[in-house]
Amino acid sequence: MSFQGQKSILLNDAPYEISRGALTRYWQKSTEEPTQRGFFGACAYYFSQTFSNLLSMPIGSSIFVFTVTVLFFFLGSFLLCLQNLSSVLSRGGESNSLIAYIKTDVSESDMNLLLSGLDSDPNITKVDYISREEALELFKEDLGEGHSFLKALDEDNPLPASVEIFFEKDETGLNSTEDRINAMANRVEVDEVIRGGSWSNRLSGLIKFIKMVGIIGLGITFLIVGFLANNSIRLLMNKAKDEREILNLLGASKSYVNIPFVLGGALQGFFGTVLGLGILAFLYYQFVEGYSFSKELPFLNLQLEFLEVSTLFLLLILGTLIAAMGSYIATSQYGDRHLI
Amino acid sequence: MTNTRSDIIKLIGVSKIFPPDDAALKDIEFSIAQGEFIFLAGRSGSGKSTLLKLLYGSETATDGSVIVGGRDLSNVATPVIARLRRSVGLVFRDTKFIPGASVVENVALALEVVGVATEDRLDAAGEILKAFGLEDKLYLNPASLSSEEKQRVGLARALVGKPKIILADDPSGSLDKGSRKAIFDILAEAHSCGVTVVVATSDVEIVEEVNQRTIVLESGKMIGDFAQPA
Ligand SMILES: Nc1ncnc2c1ncn2[C@@H]1O[C@H](COP(=O)(O)OP(=O)(O)OP(=O)(O)O)[C@@H](O)[C@H]1O
Ligand SMILES: [Mg+2]
Repeated sequence: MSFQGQKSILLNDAPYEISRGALTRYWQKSTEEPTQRGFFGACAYYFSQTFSNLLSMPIGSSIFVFTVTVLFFFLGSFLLCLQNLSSVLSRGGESNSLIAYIKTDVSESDMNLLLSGLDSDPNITKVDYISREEALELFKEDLGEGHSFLKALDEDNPLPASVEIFFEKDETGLNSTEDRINAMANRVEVDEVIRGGSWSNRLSGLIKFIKMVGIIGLGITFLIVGFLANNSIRLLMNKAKDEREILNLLGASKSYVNIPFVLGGALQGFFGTVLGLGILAFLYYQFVEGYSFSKELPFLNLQLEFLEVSTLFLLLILGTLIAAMGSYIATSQYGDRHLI
Repeated sequence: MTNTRSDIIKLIGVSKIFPPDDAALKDIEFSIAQGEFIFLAGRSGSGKSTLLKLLYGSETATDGSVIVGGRDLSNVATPVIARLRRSVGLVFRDTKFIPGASVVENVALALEVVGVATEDRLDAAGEILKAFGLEDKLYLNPASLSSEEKQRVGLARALVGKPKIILADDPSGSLDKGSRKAIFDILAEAHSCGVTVVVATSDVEIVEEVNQRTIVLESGKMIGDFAQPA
């Protein structure tokens, strides 16, 4: 069997619109390798592809960016309040103390033992013992003499003795005060323990709660951002279905086809975060900074500060990364028919 | 066909069953030498497109081996298939283009995925489009072209990277007789440049006119392998 070549393939009836031999000339022309675009060329490709993807759905993309903006505006505001609240509270907390109420049936010698033990503790700066009698005197002073029912109290004093214990200023946090309270409460002589000293210490539970809410808020924000990025990118991929298929059939790898979409999500997350925090910063420096609140809250001695640069950066990186992750998940979940 | 030519495509006992039990191909076995021009002929639904999909790795065989360029596609990783596709030009009945991009950009896309720099790929795309008589359509939107012009652009995109194989699935299915000829002229010239050309068609007329080796499928079975007459 002989291979006759192209002659018999060509159809018989002219006219030809295409000049035959042109493809052959193209084929034979240059054998040298074409220039490769290199790393920066590839980056330029990915970015231009990313932008054209985003611009193919301007409204959808804007909605996502705007949502991230709103979320990060609120998250930033929340963190701003939290940061200033806890700085106010820690400034207010000059001393740490607790008040232990002593059971009424504790003998004087047991009480002395307890007090001398507390005195020898190096972390304790001061111990104020208030006996039952002193407590009653103080109570009377508070109310003013002359009340008839106070006479009844003289006969049967209902007030417990108490010890107020002052600790070294605790720089490490609020936990150790908690530990001390628990340690005191566990002693047999002690009936009940409350936080003493300045009001800020009593708020430490509140701070803890706010911090927890902050962390939960952070988590929820990131979940929403990731979820929205996932959805937004899915829509974009669906819009670019044909294009993805074409590229893939031309031999583009999956990552080549998908990188612009992950990048798109990351960019949207980035812009949303920048906008949200930017608007917050603008409003803060425009309206809040320098305002002392001395009229409204004279006891606070507020010195407001904006979020630290490192916090802002962290939020920016996290916002971008979470959006990228949501998009990456979208690309790996999205089922293209011909995509390999 | 002589023994010195190596087989670029080889199918051994290939079956494709679509779930649950739709046997699109049954026990297909043939090989194609490098530089051959071959028709896959058969009626609609006979399995031609499915067979081509196996060849470019869009479907995997349920049974048997599909060997393209020396690699058994049933057990290669997807990056290998992606690389294989860069040396295979694909043409379809309704070739798809990126609507936002011009004709020349669409053709250049084939070089873009292999990382060719912008200027070089636009040059090459312009050149091959010129060879196909489309020099005044370079900057048009592909959607504005006639069916024949679209197919020529599709062929330009398939050939711009000088592939070893062209797989054409019913490339003239949407064309009239004159346009059909223009498309087969290009395929013939590609063949003469050494490209292995596999064309699936249900058009008996074109098979007779072009007169090359023809494998006939019927209900997923190979019922004939007619060599090109001497
Ligand atoms: N993805 C799929 N899922 C299920 N069945 C399929 C799938 N693709 C093809 N088939 C079946 O496989 C058989 C062969 O289809 P195929 O598309 O290969 O035929 P064809 O020869 O290309 O037909 P045509 O000339 O109309 O293009 C048909 O019965 C079809 O229904
Ligand atoms: Mg088909």
